[in-house]
Amino acid sequence: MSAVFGVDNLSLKIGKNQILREVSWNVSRGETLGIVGESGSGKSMSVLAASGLLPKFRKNITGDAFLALESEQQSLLDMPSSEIRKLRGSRIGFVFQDPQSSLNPLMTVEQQLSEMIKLHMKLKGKQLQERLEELLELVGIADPERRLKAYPHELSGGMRQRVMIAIALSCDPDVLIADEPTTALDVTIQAQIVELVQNLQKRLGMAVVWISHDLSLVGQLADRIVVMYGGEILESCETKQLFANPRHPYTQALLASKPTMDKSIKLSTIPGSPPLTTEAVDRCVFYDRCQFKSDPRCATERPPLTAVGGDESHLVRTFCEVP
Amino acid sequence: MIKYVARRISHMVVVLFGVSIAVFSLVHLVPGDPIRVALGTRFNEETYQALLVSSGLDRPLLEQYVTYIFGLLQGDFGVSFRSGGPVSEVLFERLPATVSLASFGIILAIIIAIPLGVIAALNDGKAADGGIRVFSQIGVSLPDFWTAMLFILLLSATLQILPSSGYVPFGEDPVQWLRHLIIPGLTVGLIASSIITRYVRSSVLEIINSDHVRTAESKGLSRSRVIRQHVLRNALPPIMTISGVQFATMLGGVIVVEVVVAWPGLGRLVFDAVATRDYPVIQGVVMLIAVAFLVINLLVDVLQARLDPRVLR
Repeated sequence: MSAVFGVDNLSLKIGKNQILREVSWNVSRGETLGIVGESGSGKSMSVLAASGLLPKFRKNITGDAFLALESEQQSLLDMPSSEIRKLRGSRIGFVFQDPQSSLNPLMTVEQQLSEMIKLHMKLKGKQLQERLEELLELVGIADPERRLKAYPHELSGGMRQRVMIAIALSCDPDVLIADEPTTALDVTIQAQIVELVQNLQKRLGMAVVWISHDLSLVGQLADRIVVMYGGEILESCETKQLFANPRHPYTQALLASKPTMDKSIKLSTIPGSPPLTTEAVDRCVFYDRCQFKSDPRCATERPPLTAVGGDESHLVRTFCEVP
Repeated sequence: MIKYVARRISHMVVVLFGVSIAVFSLVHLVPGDPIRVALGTRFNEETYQALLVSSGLDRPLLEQYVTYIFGLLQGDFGVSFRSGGPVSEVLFERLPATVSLASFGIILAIIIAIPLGVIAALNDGKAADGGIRVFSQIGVSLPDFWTAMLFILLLSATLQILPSSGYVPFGEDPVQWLRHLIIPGLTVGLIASSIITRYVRSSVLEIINSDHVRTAESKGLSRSRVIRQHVLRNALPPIMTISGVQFATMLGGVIVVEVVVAWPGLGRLVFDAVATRDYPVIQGVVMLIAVAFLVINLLVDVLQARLDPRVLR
């Protein structure tokens, strides 16, 4: 499988803050990549930077991002902004966290859904109307004709997120970016949205990048997982491998802080809080909160991303030999 | 929508009633005897008494108010102490000059304020933003009579391209009407524009950083479409509110500017009426201003409801 979308050695520095440091990941057609991390870990930033959605900080970005279309790989960061605009929406679709604030409150569903189809697919009249209804049916919205005339405030949270997904999918993108799409929703609706995206991916064969702070949620739906912390990738491997054999102290701590049904076991937490301002440091970025610190280099050197036991699909950035 | 407008109009009636009480009491609290002022050198005890009785000022305040309010309900604003003519006629005579000035001023203000405010917001913190904020600060701080005099100095005295004062009705000579309108219009328009610019800037800044604008960017829409359709449109409601207030204020008469350029509008009228204690005229102008405010606010709210479906909820 060849990668359709990804970033390569991407760094973003704003003032003194190292928002992203040498981040690389990619995703292939039909695959789901999960990016997991706490708030401020840079998980959304790498995607926004790659797709040109941080125009103010374009100068601060180094490294590369690419999109492979018809076997031709295009570098997104060298592209003029007018070119990357054409790819956004048509080749890369986005679903954001809070559908309440992510939809324009003054425009009907129809207006918001059709402006992109008109722009990228040049449909109009009857063809456009058919496409709109088809999309709403695709995301499981009954009575599309009535819903098209509705404003966002007239819809429920789950319905709004379905509309967001319909917008993201309206031009048959190759990549779907789901940036915490279920965080603002009820648990039951959350399950429906996850299932919906999974089904759509099977039918349409697109690549999905699912960004979340919820490791167990991502564990259910991703093929591969990237764990981010303080703007860096700490571990990346296949989902099964991550749950079976986590090699980074942070990943282990994350897995251990998952609540269980057994009330006698106290919920495990990671002491301390994630770094607020992440100045680039010459030591392990997780050092302050790590309970191992088993190598003298932890405090003086930045660990490189190394393959676990020679397996190039399982990378980890630590000196610690964890049990 | 009809229910909404009906409810708003019923509120307006209550407000106007309150305004009439407030104005009536305030006017009568101001010291000074209107009959004496009106008579001037023709004063003698006999005519004084006759005028006092005919104007109704000898009767108890409450009775005067009730008479006034019943008159108002029939469209009768009373009789001017000074000219002896009906107040409604005086108001009607002055209205065209003020409406011309206010309309010119508000249109100019909006034409200036929207682009400036948007440019300032898009360049937040940069040189263009700084320049526009300085302009707006100057516009807000300069006293209007002084700005008017500066324009007279420049356009009338130095360049000699415009008349320095006076008013010509549109029906008489449209070109002269416009030529006379420019100096006072520029003055009130620039002041209003610097106020509105600030609202445009902050409103656009707030919207531009909102999530739905990021969604619009993620759709790959052109920058100009994002700004027009998703930023400016959503930023409009507070801009419409402040523009409505500015327009209503101008309709109430821009007193000092009207005095400086000898503009025969409502501002000039109320200035003279206060000087001569012409109670019915003062009351009439204030009631008219109150009605203008309420009607314009209603119009703004109706427009907003058309723009934002959540208003009617």
